[in-house]
Amino acid sequence: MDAKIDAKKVIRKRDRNRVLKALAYVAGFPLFILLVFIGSVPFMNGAAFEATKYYGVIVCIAAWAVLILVQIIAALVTKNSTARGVIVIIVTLIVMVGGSVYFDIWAEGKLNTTRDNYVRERYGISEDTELVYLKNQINKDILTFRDDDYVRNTFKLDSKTKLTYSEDQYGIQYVTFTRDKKTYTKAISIEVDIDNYATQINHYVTWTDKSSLTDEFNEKIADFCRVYNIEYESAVKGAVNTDGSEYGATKIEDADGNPEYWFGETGKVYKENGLYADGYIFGVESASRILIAYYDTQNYYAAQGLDADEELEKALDKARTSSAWTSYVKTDEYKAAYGPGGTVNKYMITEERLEKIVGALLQGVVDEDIIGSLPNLGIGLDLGKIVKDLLSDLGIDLNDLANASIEDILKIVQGLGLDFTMDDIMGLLGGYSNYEVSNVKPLMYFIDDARLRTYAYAKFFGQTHGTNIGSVLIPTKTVNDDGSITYGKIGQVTMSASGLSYEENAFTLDECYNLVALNGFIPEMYPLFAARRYAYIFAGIISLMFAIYYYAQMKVNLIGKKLEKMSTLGGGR
Amino acid sequence: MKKVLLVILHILGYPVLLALVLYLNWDIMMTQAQNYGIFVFVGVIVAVVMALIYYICYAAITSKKKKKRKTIFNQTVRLCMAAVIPLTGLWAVCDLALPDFLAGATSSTIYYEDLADGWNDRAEVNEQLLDKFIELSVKAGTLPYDSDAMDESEAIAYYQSKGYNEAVSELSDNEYYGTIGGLFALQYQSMNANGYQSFTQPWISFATSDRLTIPCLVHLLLDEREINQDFITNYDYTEYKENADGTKEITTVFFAVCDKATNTITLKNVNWTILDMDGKETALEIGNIPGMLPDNFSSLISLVINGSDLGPIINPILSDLAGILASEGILGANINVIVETGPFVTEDAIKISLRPTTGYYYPEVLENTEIHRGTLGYQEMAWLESNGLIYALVTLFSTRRVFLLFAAWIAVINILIGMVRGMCKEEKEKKRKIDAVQAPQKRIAPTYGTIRPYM
Repeated sequence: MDAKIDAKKVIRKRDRNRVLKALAYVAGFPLFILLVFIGSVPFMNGAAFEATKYYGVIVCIAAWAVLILVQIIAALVTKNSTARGVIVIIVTLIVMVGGSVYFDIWAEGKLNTTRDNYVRERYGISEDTELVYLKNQINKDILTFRDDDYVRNTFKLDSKTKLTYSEDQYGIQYVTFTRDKKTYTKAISIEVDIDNYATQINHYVTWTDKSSLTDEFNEKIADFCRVYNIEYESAVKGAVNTDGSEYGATKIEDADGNPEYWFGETGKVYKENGLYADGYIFGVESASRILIAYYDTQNYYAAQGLDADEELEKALDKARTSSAWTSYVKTDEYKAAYGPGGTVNKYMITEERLEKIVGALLQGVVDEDIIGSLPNLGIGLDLGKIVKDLLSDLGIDLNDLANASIEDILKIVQGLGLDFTMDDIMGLLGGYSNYEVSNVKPLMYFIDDARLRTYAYAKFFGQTHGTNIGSVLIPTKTVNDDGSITYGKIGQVTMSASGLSYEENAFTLDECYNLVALNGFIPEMYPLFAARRYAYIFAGIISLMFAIYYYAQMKVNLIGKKLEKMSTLGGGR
Repeated sequence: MKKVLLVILHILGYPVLLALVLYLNWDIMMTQAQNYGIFVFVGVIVAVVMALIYYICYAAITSKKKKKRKTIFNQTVRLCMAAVIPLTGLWAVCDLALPDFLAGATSSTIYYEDLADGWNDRAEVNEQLLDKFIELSVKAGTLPYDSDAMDESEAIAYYQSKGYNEAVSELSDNEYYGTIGGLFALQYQSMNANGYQSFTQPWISFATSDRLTIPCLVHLLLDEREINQDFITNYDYTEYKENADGTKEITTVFFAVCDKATNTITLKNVNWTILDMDGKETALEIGNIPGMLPDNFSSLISLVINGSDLGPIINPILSDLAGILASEGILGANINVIVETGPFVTEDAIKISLRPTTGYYYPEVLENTEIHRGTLGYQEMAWLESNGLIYALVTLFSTRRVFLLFAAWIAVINILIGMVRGMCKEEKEKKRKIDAVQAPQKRIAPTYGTIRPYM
C-alpha cells in the first residue's frame, strides 16, 4: 500500500515537471512572437506598411525555426539534457543578442545613408563635402558645414578670405568672414528633419500616449494620398491602353543601356514609348518624386531669373527642329499614328477630327435650319436675325455654311473682334482631349537638356496625365493681367469633385523630400524595430526558459527511470 | 417523458433552423421562383444540406452497430462539432474568401458588406429592377398591349404578373421574342456588346470608380469604338459576315424598337453613349457658380431669363442640335439636352441637363424625355442579367445570421440531448441492475420447477 502511495507521488511530480516544461516552452518563443505581433499592431492601419507589417513577426518565426533546428541537432548529437540545454542556450544568446546588435549596426548604417542622401539631394551638397551632425539643445541632429570649400562656394568667397568658425549655446554653427570691409556671421547649420537612429528606435512606437513616429508617418502618408487622390501603391486601371496595346515593363533605354524608369516607378506600368500606361494611377513614391522634379527645376531656373516653363517651351522648339525628331516623324511608325488618317484620330480631337466634327455640325445646322428657328426673345433680342445679319456682314451665304471650314468659322469669330487662332483652339482642346499613341515616342523624349527633359516628363505626368485620371499633382498656372498667378485645383478634379486649392493643400518641396526619404526607410525598418525591441528583452527570458525546459526534461527523465525501477520491484503501476 | 423531451429538443434544432430559413426566403421563393427557378432556393438547399450533414453524423456517431461505441459524453462532443463546424465554418470561409471575389465579380457594384446583413434590401432592389424594366418596355412599346382592352398602367401590371420566361400571348405574333426574358436578352446584348464592352479602357474603369474627369468623358464620348465580339451571345440578333476561316464578324448588333406611329416592333442598330451606361442625367447650372462666367455674361443671363421659363423656346432648338450631335462622326448616339430656367431652377441660372436614353425616371420626367430606349442603365441591366445569381447570393446570405446563431444554439441543444440520453441510460442501467437482481427469483418458479437438491 505504501509503495502505491509513493508511486502516485512520483507520478504527480513527473506530471508537474511536464507542465513546467510546457509552460517554459510557451513562455519562450511563442510569447516572444505574440508580443512582437502585438507590437506590430500600430503598423496595421498604415497603408505604407501593407506589405511589410509582419516583417518583425516573420523574422522572429525565422529565429524560432533556427532554434528548433538547433534543438533537433542537439537531440541527435547528445542524449544528455544538460548538454542539449547548454547548446540551445548558447545559440539562443547568439541569435537573440548577436542578431539584435548586428541589426542595430546595420539599421543605423542604413538610416545614416538614407539621411545623408536626403541631405545631399535636398541641399545640393556634393559627395566631396563631409556631413557633420551635431546635437542641439533638444537632442535633435543639426547638420553643420565646417568645410572651407563649401562655405567659400556658398557665400562666393575667394580663397584668401579668412574663415572663423564658432558655435552658440544651442550648438548651431557659424562662420565669420570679412568681405568688402564688412564682417559677416552666417549660420552654417541645418536642423535635419529626419531623426537620428537613437531617437527613431525609441520613438517609433511610444510606451506612453505620446504621438509616435509611426503615427506621424501614417498621418503624413494618409494626408498626401488624400490631397492627391491616390493610394500608397501605384496601380493601373483597365486591362489595356486606350489604343488596345498592352502595358508592361519599360522598353526604353537610357544612354547607358539601362531601362529608363521615371520617378522611381520600376513596375510593369509603362507603354511601349516609355510613358506611364493610360490607366496608371500614381503611388506615393512616384507622385512625390514627380513633384520634387517639378519644384526643383522651377527653383533652379527661378534662381537664375528664368522661368522653367518658358525654358521648356524653348527646349521643345529646339527638339522639334532637331535632326533626330525630323527623321523620326518620317518613319512609318510615326506616320501611322500621327499622319493623315492616323490612329490618334480615333482617340483625341485632332485638327483633322475637328474638321469632321465641325463639318457634320454645320451640315446639321443647315439641314435642320437651326438658324432660321432661333427664337425672338423680345427685348430687342431676335437671335435668328442677329446671326443672319452677322453672317451677311461677313459675306457668308447661309447655304454655304455647310461647306465652311474651321478657318471660315475662325474668320467669323475674328470678325466679332475675338482674336482666336487655330493654335488657341487646339491648345484649349488639348487640356481635355489628348493622347500619346503607345508605340510612338513623344516629342519630349528628344529634348537634349537632361534637367528640362525630366521636367517635361514630370509636367506631363503630374499635369496632363493627372488631369486625365483625376489625380492632379501639378496645377495649371495662369498669369493674370496684373502679373499675379492663378493656380488650378489639385487632386481629385472630376465631374463630381472640384479638387483642392493648390496654395492651401499642396505638399511643399521640403515636405516631398522628407516624405521620399522617410518612405525609403520607415516601411521596411519599423516593423523590424518591433522584433528588435522585444529581442533584447527576450534574449534572457528565452534562455532562462530553455534552461527551465531542459531542467524539467531532465527531471521527467529521472522520474521516468525511477518509476521503471519501482515497476520492476512491483511497487509501481 | 424523457423521450418526449428528446423529441422536442431535436425539433428545436435543425427543424426550427429549416423553418426559419424557409420563412426568411418565403416571399422571394413565392414571387421569383417563376422568374429565376432554382436560384431562389439556394438558401433553403444549403440549409437542407447542413441538416443532412448533421443527421448523417448523428446516425453514424450514435450507431449501436459500432464495435467500439463511445460514451455519451464523447458522442455529445462529436455532435456539437458536427453542428458547429459546418454552420460556422461555411460562413467563416465565406467571410474570408468572398469579399474580394464578390467585389471583383460585380465590378465593384455589389460588396460583401451590402449583403452580409442587408440581403433583404438587395432582394427588394432586385425585384424592383425587373418591374422597372417591364414598365419602361411597356412605355417604349416593346411590350405591346391592346389599348382597347387595358390602359398603360394595367398593361404594366399585367406584364409584371407574368413570369420572366413565360410565353405571353401578346407577343405570340412577335418574330423576335415571345417572353419578357427574350426581350431582355435582346436589349441587353446590344447595351453590352455594342455599349459597355465597346468603350475604351481604361476610361470606362475610371468612369465607374469616381475618376470621371472631363478628359475621361471626352474619351468615352468621342473615342472610336468597335463592337466587342466576345460578348455576343445570340447571333440571331446580329448582322455578321463570315470570314474565310469560318469565324463570324459582327457588323450590327440589333436592339428592339417600337415605331409608335404604326405600333410595329422592329430590330435596329442602336449606338450608346457613356451617359446611357450610367442611366442618370448630368445637370449643370450655369450662372450661379461664382467665377464660372464673366460678370457681364451672368448679367445678360439674368436679363434674358428674368424669372421666365425659356425651356419651351430653347428646347426644340436643342432637340435639333442633339439630333445633329447623334450623327456619325460626332457622338454617333442620341442624348437628350434639356434646358430649364425660371421657377424650378436657382434664380438667374440656366440648368442644362444631359439626359441619357436609358434609366428609370418618374413618369412626369419620362414624358419630357424625347428619346428613351425603354431600358434601365447598363449597371442595372447587368444586375438584372445576373439576377438569378444575385438571388442565389441573396438567399445564401439569408442563412448567414441564422447559421451563426444556430451553431451555438444547436450545440446547447446537443448538450441537453446528451444529458437526457445520459439520464435515459442511467435509468436503463438501474432497471437492468434491478432486473438482474430480480431475475433469479423470477426464474426459480414456475419454469424450472423446484430446486433440485443435487444442484
